This record gives sequence, C-alpha cells and structure tokens, in this order.
Amino acid sequence: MRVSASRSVAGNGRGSAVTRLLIPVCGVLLVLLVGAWAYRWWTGEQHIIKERLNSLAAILSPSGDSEFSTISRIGQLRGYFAPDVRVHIGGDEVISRDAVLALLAKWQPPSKSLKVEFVDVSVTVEEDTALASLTAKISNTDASAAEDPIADAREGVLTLRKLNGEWVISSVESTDTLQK
Amino acid sequence: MRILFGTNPRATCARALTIIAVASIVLRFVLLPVRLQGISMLPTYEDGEINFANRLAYAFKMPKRGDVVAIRMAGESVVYVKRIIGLPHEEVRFARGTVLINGEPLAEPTVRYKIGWNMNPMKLGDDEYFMVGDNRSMDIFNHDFGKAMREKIVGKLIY
Repeated sequence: MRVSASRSVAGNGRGSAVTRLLIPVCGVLLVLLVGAWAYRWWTGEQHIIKERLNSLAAILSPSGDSEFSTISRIGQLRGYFAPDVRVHIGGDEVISRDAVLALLAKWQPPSKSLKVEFVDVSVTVEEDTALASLTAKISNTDASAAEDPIADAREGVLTLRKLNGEWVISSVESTDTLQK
Repeated sequence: MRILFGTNPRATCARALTIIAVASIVLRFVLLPVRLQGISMLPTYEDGEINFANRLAYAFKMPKRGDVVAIRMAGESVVYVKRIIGLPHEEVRFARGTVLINGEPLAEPTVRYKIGWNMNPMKLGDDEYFMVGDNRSMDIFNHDFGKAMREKIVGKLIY
C-alpha cells in the first residue's frame, strides 16, 4: 500500500509539473487567438461598414437643430452616397445624390427629436461591393411627446461600393415586411 | 456582503450563474420579449403591453388562423404583432370591413371596432400567411397588414 501510494505521489508530481507548464502556455495561446480574432473583427470590412452606417444614422437624426446645423448635416451626408445613388422606397424612386440630399434638406421631421438607427445589420462583402440588410428604425426621443417611441421602422437592403477608399451607398431598396 | 452572497458565496455564485445561463438560453431560443407599441391590435392588446413570443410554438405544427404572432423585419429587434387570418393557398379579401376567405365571410370575435375596409382579392402562395391587426377602426392606409412568408414568423404570443 505504501509503495503504491508513493508511486502515486510521484506520478502526481510529474502531472502537476506538466499542468503548471500547460496552463500558462494555453493561456497565452488563448489570449493570442482572442487578440487575433478581435483584430480581424475590428479591422474587417464588415465592422467598418457597420460603423459607417452608425455614423450615417447619427447624422440623419435631427435633434432640434438650427437651419445652419441642418445645412451642415446635409453637407456631411454627401460623403455617404455615391453620385449615382438610386433610392427606392415605398414605390417612389429617386436617382442621384443631389436629388436625395435635396429631399433630405426639405424633410420636415414630425418631431424635433428623432433618432434614426440601423438595427439587425447584416453585411456581406464581395471585393469592392457590399450588401447590408437592416431595419431602419426611427424613434421619438422627445419624452414630452405623446407619440409612440418608435415612429416608424422599415427593413431594407443597401448596396455599397468603395469610392476613393470609402464605402458609399449606391442603392437603397426598402422592402415591405407585410406585402399588400 | 453576507446579505448578497449568503453563508456559502461559492454556491450563491453558482446559482446566480445558473440562473443567468438558463435565462439567456430561454430568451435566446424559446421566448422573445415583446413590448407592444401602437393601437393596431386594440382592443386585444393595449399600447405598451409586455408579452412574449414563443419561438417553439411552430416547431412541430403550422401556424393557424386566429393566432397572434410576432413577425420579424430584417432581424428580431423590431417585430410586428398581428393576427393570422389567411392561410397558404387561400384568397383573402376585405369587402366593406368584412374579411372574406375564399369568398366566405370570416367570423372575427376579437374585432370589435371596424370601418368599411376594402381590398382586392389576394391569393396566397405556398408558405404565405395573411396577417392583420384587430383594430379595423383605423384608416386602412395607416394600418400595416398583408402577407408574409412563414419564415418571417418568429413565434406565437403566449397570452
């Protein structure tokens, strides 16, 4: 019994030495793997496109701004659309960036505090083009207003292409979830 | 700390982790929490009500007429909540506020308020369902309704 016990102890000693070596090695490997994945995710085109759409949504959200800031916002939007962008929403079609920006400049939001968000964004990248399917959600952020928090929501597909190194929207196609 | 973790902190942590894991699994794979907005489902559901869509409701059976379901858009962050009135291969029509399925009037005990909606006949294809809210006193143009594929139905509301 004693012999087997001592053998067992000796075996445990070798085992624990290996374990002591393996744990930090596995830890370092795990950290490296997570780091590599995070780096690929952070610098990947999908993440870049999602971030770009988030900033577009922020610019599209009016927050009770003055005429000057509205003009400034519209100016910023120019960089997000291709010159020949085609927007097809609810049976209406607008072609060209200038026409889209003119419409946005004329748009009178129903509330001064609206928040535009793109949710459930799914991006597929192919070479220099990308497809993003998403739900555009417009929420009323004015707490005093009696309206519903979500003013409107629509699903759609955006086509993007690279122009001078930046992803720009070349087409917008809204789809009716419930088709009449 | 004693109040938070009890006499056996390890067991308390294990219980808390178990609860979090179970809740995550249930909310990810079984129930979708839904907060209703708007008046399109009045009087069945009031604006602001909380409910859950059972994702497994149609795992082994098909949706049926009268079920109130959640219908997803691009994802599940925003969903429609509507009642199924038309099934695959049926023809749906509104005539002066009455729903006609294959030409026969549909009894709708959950619809209390209605005005004279009219809609041309719509033939449903394979896997297509016709959904509409219970509040038919709204202007037809302000009410989202229509057909959607079966894959768009996330689940059935549980109450």
